[in-house]
Amino acid sequence: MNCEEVQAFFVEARASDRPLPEDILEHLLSCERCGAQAGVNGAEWELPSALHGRILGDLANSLDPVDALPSRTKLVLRTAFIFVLLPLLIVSVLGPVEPLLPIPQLTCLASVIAGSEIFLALALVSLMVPGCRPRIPPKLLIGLCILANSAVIVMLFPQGKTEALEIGTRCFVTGCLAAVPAATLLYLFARRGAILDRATAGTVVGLLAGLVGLTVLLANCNNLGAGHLAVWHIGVLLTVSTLGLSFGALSISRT
Amino acid sequence: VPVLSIIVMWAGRRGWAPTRKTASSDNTGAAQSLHYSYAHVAPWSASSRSKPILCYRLAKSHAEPKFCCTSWKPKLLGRVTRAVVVCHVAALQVRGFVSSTVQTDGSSRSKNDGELHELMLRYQAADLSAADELVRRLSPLLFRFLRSPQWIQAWNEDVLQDCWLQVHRARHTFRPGYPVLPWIFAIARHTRRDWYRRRCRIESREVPLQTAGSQYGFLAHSSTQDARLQPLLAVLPPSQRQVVVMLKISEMTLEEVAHATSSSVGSVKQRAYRAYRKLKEVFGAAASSEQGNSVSLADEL
Repeated sequence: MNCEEVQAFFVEARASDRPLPEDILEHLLSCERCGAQAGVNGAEWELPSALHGRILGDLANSLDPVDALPSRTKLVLRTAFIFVLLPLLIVSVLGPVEPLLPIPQLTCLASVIAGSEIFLALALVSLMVPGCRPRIPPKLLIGLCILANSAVIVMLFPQGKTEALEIGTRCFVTGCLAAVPAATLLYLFARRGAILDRATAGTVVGLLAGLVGLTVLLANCNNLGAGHLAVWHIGVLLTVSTLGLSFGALSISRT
Repeated sequence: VPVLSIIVMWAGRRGWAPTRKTASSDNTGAAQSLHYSYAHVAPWSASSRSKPILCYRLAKSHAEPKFCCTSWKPKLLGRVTRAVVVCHVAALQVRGFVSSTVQTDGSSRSKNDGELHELMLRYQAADLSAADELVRRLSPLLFRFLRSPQWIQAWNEDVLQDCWLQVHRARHTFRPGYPVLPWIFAIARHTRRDWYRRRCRIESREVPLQTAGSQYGFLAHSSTQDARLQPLLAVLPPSQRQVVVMLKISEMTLEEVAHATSSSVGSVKQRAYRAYRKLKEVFGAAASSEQGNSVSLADEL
C-alpha cells in the first residue's frame, strides 16, 4: 500500500471506532509523512512558542467582554417583528388596493407565507451560530418554501387570462421595492451572528425579504389570476433570493 | 405541513370539501358524514390530533338550521376551520422543531468538554488566561484537523492562526450550555475551506518566485547583499530610497519607475539626483575617517 492509497482511505473513510486495517497501520508506522499526518507514530505536534505568541497577541488586541447570542426562540421572535411590522408599515404607506383577495384565499396564502417565514427564520438563526445543525437542511427548506408558495398559488387561484405586462411589472416592482428594506434589516440582523455558509445565508435572507414583498402584494394586488400570481409574485421571491445568493457568493469570493 | 395544506386546499377546490356535502337534520350524523368525507379526502386527519377539533367545529357549524349547505357561511366556516387546523398542526410542528433542536444542559458533556466550556465562558468574559489555556489545549487538535499535505508548514500555521482569529470574532455566538468542540470545529472547517479557495485563487493568478526571479534582477540578489545595503540606504528619505532601489537594484528604466511611482520622469530624475548627492555627502564624509565596504558599495551605487 502506498501513500496515495492511504490518503484515499482517509479521505473516503468516515469517523468510526473501528480499528485501522492492518495494511494501513503498517504503512502509517513505516512512512514518516503519513504517520505524522495521522498522528500515529509519536510525532505529536506541539504549538511553537512563536506561533503561540502570535495567536495570543491577535486575541489580546481586541479581547473585550462579549454577551452571548440570545436563545434561538428569542432571535426568531425578533425576526417576526420584521415580517409583521414592515409589511404593515409599507401597506399603510402604499394604501391597500380594493377589493382585496377573498378572505379564504388570503388566509391560506398568508398561512403558507407565515409558515415559510418561521421555518426560514429558524434556518437563518441556525446559520448564524457555528456548529448548529438545523433539523431541516436550509437548502432543502429553500426549495420547499418556493415550491409550497408556488403550488398554493397555482392550486388555490383560478387560471385567468394573461395580464398586461404593465400590471405585472407594477406588482413586481412593488414587491421588489418592499423587499429592499426587509433585506437590509435582515442583513443587519444576520451580521450579529457568525455566518459561515454565506451563499446559503444570502439565499435565505433574500427569500425572507421576498416573502415580505409577497406579503405586501397580498394587500396591494387584487389580481386573482394564477398566472399573474405565479409569474409576477413568485418572480419577486425568485429574483430577491437569487440576488441574495449572488451577494453571498460575492462575499465568499472577496474573502 | 405545506404539502398537507396543499392537499386540503386542492380538495376544497375540487368540491370534495365537507361544507359542500348535504347537511342532515341529525347533527351527529352530519358531523360523522362530514368527517368521513373529510377523512376520505385527507386520511391524515382521521388519525391526527386535530380530529376532535375538526369534528367539533364541523358539528357546530351545522348545529343550527339556518346554516345550510348553499349558504356562504358554512363554506367560510369550513375554510376557516381548515386554516385553523393547518395552523395548529404547523404550530405543533414548529414547537417540536424548536424543542428538538435546542439542547438543554451540559449534563451529558464529558469532563474534558466541561472544562473547555468553563474556559470558553471565561474567554467570553475577556479572561486572557482562559484564552491562553484554550489555545494551548485546542491548537494541536485544530492543527491536525487543518493541516494539508499539499501546503507547506508555514501555511498550515497561518491557517491555524487565521482559525483562531475567526474563533475570536465569533466568540459571542457560543452559547452557554452548548458543547465547545462542535462549535469550534465548525469554524475550523470553514476556515480550511476558505483557505483552500484562497490558495487556489492565488496559485491561479500568481507567478512563482523562481520564475519571476529570472525576469527581475532584484529578486535574484542574495540576502547578505540586501542586509548590507539596507543600512546604507537608510539615510535616504523613503521616496528617494524607493527611486534608488528601483533604478539601481531592480534595474528599471526611468519610465518604468515613473509609472510605478505615479510621477513624471522629471520628478524621478530629480529624486534620484538628490539621493545620489545625499549619499555622496554621507559616505564622502565617512570615507575620510574609515575605509570600508560601505564606501565601495556607495561608489558602486
